[in-house]
Amino acid sequence: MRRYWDRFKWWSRRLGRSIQAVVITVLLALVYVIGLGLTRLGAELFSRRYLKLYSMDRSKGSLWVDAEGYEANRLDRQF
Amino acid sequence: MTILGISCYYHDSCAALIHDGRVVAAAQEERFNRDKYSPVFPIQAVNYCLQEAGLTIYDVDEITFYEKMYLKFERTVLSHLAGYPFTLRNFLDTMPLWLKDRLTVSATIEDELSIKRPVRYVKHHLSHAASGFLLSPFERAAILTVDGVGEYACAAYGSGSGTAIELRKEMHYPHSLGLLYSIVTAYLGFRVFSGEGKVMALAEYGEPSFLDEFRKIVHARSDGSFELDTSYFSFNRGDRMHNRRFEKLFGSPRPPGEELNDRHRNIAASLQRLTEIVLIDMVRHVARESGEKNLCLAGGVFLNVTANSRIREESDFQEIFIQPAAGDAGAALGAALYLYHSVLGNPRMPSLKSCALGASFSDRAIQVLLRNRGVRFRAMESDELVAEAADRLAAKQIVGWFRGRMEFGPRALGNRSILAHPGDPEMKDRLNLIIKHREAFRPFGASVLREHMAEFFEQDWSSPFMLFIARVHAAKIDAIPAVVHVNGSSRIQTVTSEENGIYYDLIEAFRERTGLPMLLNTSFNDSEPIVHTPEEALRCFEDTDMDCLVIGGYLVEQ
Repeated sequence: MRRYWDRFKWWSRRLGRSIQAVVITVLLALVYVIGLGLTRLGAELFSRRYLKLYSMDRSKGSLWVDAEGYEANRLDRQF
Repeated sequence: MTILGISCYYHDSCAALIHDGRVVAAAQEERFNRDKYSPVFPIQAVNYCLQEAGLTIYDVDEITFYEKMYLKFERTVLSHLAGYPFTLRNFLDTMPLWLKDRLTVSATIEDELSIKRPVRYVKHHLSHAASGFLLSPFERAAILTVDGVGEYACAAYGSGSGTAIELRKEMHYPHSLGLLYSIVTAYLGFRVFSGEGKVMALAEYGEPSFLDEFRKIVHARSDGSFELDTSYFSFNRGDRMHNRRFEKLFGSPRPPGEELNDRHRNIAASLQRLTEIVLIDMVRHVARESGEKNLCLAGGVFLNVTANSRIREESDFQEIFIQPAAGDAGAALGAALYLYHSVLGNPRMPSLKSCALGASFSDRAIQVLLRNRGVRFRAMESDELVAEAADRLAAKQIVGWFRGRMEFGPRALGNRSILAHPGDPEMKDRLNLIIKHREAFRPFGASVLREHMAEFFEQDWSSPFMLFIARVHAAKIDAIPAVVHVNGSSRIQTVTSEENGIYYDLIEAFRERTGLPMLLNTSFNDSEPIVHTPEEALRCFEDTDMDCLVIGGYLVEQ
């Protein structure tokens, strides 16, 4: 009896984890498609600078930029 | 004051502990969980560090983390935004990792360590910079850090003076030398993080005939900065970071395990040449900007010993220091050092002379193990061990050498080493095929007595952490073929009596027997992280064809 109960619990946990993974994947996909999609649309319309991460600018003389955020009084922050 | 530094979640998780003004311990988590380049929270490494210091977690005053995760998350989201809608798969793969623990570092640390302490977040390249400068022997120096990517920065430079560090300029993702090297490593069929060293070794077998092609995708400026032409890459878009346009330029990628051909070798050579050119330009720019005569280097790219040596020879700096754990493991230590010195104002520690910051094991514990395992062993005094090991090495036997504290960083420097005769022309193949089970083109380094360096090498310089190569005198190549790479150079660790103790004695004893003031030194492992415990050393010894093992005060025979 105990053996069947242990097996039932094992399969239940497995099923639960699978369902959880599917739910998380679907939710993340929705966040991506809708959330990021709307954000992308907004960026395209109002502020393209957020889309320039992979843009190139061969006219730039140097790719070195001023270092920022290295102040010692910001160590308690993650940004 | 006790500060615990932590790095984790990407590769080379590590914990480091500063206590009462010195670095007490540092270790990578991979050595404990036996998962190479392990990214997991380094709980075992933390526990080891505390045990080494004789402390408990409650004695820790401050905890530092080696990067700012929210900034990194911001860059990650922006990269998905820029690649929308083609980055869905990558988004689904990576977001669970962010949600699980990367966005809740403070809570994770609290859960894992069962302690509530404020966590100080040190920016990634500042952690690297601190690990390089604050352990260097320089009161002031220029600093250059180059790696894959931290939050946004892929390279940064500035200077250090006393306990102060100032990073003035940085270069941002995706224009990353480290990333480019990793992309080509994967393209050539090697595993990222472990394969870059193989590509560097392979490069010496090729010609830089693809340099023009690389210049199409890397637009370098004279100040060492450069722009990657992102149209050749597919960032965040699947398993591969290069795309079809890249393949039109370089040919189809090499499947893992497929035989290497001249095209692969030439691509490796071209990548290596380009890396050296860019780094030297960067260093020259830093020299001009800083006006300093000393240079500190950190970041994973500076594990490239070939490039390091060119920098040393061709730059205007008089002295160069590279922290031995130059990658993200060292950043854990750097974050702690930054807080200790640069923020809290504590005076500088003596410079790093030895990276033996890991665990050691008593002869008693080793003896119990050997007895329980029923192996043939003998207890010997140190000078007897040295003499016996030197005799066996001179007789071209392969000796496992497990003594003292484990090294911190990727190199074995005479505490967790496999040693062999550098003069045996068949030793390289024997070690690669039978002991290390790795590619035949991979060279071996040498541990050389410092005072004899000039007899065998054109460069007479110190290299205590095996981060430089040196050219072998043409007349001496035939004397030490096992440690000479195809380009006539060798990766070098210089050994002194003051810093290396019995290891120096061993090499000296070998020199008395053979006339060669060096030993072939490779890490004590076989397709796994470097051995950490006596059990692992014994297992590796038994599973391979080593002739004998020196472990603590004992000699073990097969």
